Amino acid sequence: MINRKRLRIANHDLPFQLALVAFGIVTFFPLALVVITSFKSNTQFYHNFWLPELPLHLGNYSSAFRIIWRYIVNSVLYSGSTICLIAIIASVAGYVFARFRFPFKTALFLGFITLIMVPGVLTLAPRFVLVRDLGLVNTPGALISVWVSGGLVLSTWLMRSYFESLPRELFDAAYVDGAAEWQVFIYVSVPLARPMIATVAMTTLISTWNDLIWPLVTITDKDKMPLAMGLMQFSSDFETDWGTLFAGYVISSIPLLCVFAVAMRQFISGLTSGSIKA
Amino acid sequence: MFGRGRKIAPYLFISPFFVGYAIFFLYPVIQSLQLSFYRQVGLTNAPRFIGFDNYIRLVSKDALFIKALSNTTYYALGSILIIVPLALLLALILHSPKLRFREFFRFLYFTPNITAGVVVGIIFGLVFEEQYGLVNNLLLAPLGIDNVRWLRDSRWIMPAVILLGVWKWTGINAIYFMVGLQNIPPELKEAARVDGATRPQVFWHVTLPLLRPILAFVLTVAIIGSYNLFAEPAILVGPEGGPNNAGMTMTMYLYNRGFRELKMGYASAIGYSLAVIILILSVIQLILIRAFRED
Repeated sequence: MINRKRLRIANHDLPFQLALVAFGIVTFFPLALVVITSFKSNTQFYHNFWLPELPLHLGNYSSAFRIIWRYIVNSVLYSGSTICLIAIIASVAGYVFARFRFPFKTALFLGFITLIMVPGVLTLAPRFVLVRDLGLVNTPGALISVWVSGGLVLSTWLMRSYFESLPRELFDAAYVDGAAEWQVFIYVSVPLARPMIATVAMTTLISTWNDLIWPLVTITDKDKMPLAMGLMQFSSDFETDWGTLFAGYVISSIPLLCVFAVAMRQFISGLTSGSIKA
Repeated sequence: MFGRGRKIAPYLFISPFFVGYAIFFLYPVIQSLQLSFYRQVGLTNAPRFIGFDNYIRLVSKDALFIKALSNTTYYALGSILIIVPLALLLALILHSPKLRFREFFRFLYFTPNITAGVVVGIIFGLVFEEQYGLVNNLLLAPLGIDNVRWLRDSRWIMPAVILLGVWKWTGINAIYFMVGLQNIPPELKEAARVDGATRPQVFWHVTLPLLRPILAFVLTVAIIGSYNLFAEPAILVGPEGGPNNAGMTMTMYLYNRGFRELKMGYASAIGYSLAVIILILSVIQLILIRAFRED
């Protein structure tokens, strides 16, 4: 009897498991194709589009790396500075919005938040004019300034709701011990908010790392391009050399894949406690 | 802290946030509204005030704008109608308690979302290639269907872009839904089951209504994302959207007018029309979801 029941449950789940696998294959196949092609010479590629073939051409990777490393370094610098600035500004502002009382607080906050719906492209033209007038065209400043201000709204919102959800007693203990406000912030609040800071960092990472249109408008020098745009340049430089092209794509995907393989759980738990619960 | 400082301090601490926001976000938003009433060609020429002319031209004389608008709407409707049910189904499966390798699947479905747009564009160029491409060769040929000219036939470009969108966005939306499912207390479903509700009934009357906030979030993000679509179609079929501009999205059109032809005033008018459309759609969507609750 028990056995039969267990069997029924197992059968019941099998189609689901199969559906997951099938969908997984559809999802992964195009990416696997990139990896497969990255080991091929052009002759092998034209001879057989879809399947791996021996010998593997590892040389594709070294020639792709010679070009692509620069774009990766640029992107790490640009996205990294953006993330640091956002983490600092948003956690301070979020903390103040969550824990202080001051005139116009709610009005100010709502004023900021309503504009979250404004699509980025709306302001593309005047933002470009502004950045040009500030003399920032073709400098990292053009990207970082706009990315920081664009990402701040959502990040501050996330940080505020996180600080609000922390129990008051955690802070009271520190005040009783005679800690100043800044000490409470640095030694109590920031360590507690680490999960949410990680989520903010990761959402910022995805949106800046893959942004194409803004770098396209503001950066013209080849050696200043971030990865998303560098890949476009790279694609036209190696248009006819499929192996090297796809080896470059594989190399370029590694940084984000590593970050998310390690921190996926963190990312999801941050989402659970923050944005989409509100 | 120190008397008077205590009053100013909060404003001081939010000032970096406020300054960054005001200069690079609020100012351009206002500036682009102003610019949309001017005619400005090139980067150095003086702008000339022309009132609503840009907007009037957009809706009455600019066939390409209407084309881009209908293409983008086609994409938004098509992709959302496929992605949302599919993501929900996937989330329900991923949520089932006996599932093995859950973490692995979750990561797998997330990978398209962190793949650069340029790479996705090039890959799907191969996937939809006419002679050797994956879809024509492995999926349609066995069914006896002749090669579809995906990227060279204006009727098939948008369906191809929609399939690309489905591939890229279903996984992350499934993760959002899964987060929502985790927040539903299991007792509610058990209670309904005890009262004699069937599985589908529990889904329709307990699970789905409780997922409403997530559904609203997913739809809002999907609408904004759809109308901001740029990199993938631009790489897949070129900046003009391929034959008959069938793959031209509104953002591509804005980019072309503003930054390839340097018509900044006109581009700003496109941007504001886009913002108004997104706003209207988001409001309609929120009202519909609310109506669903009354029922």
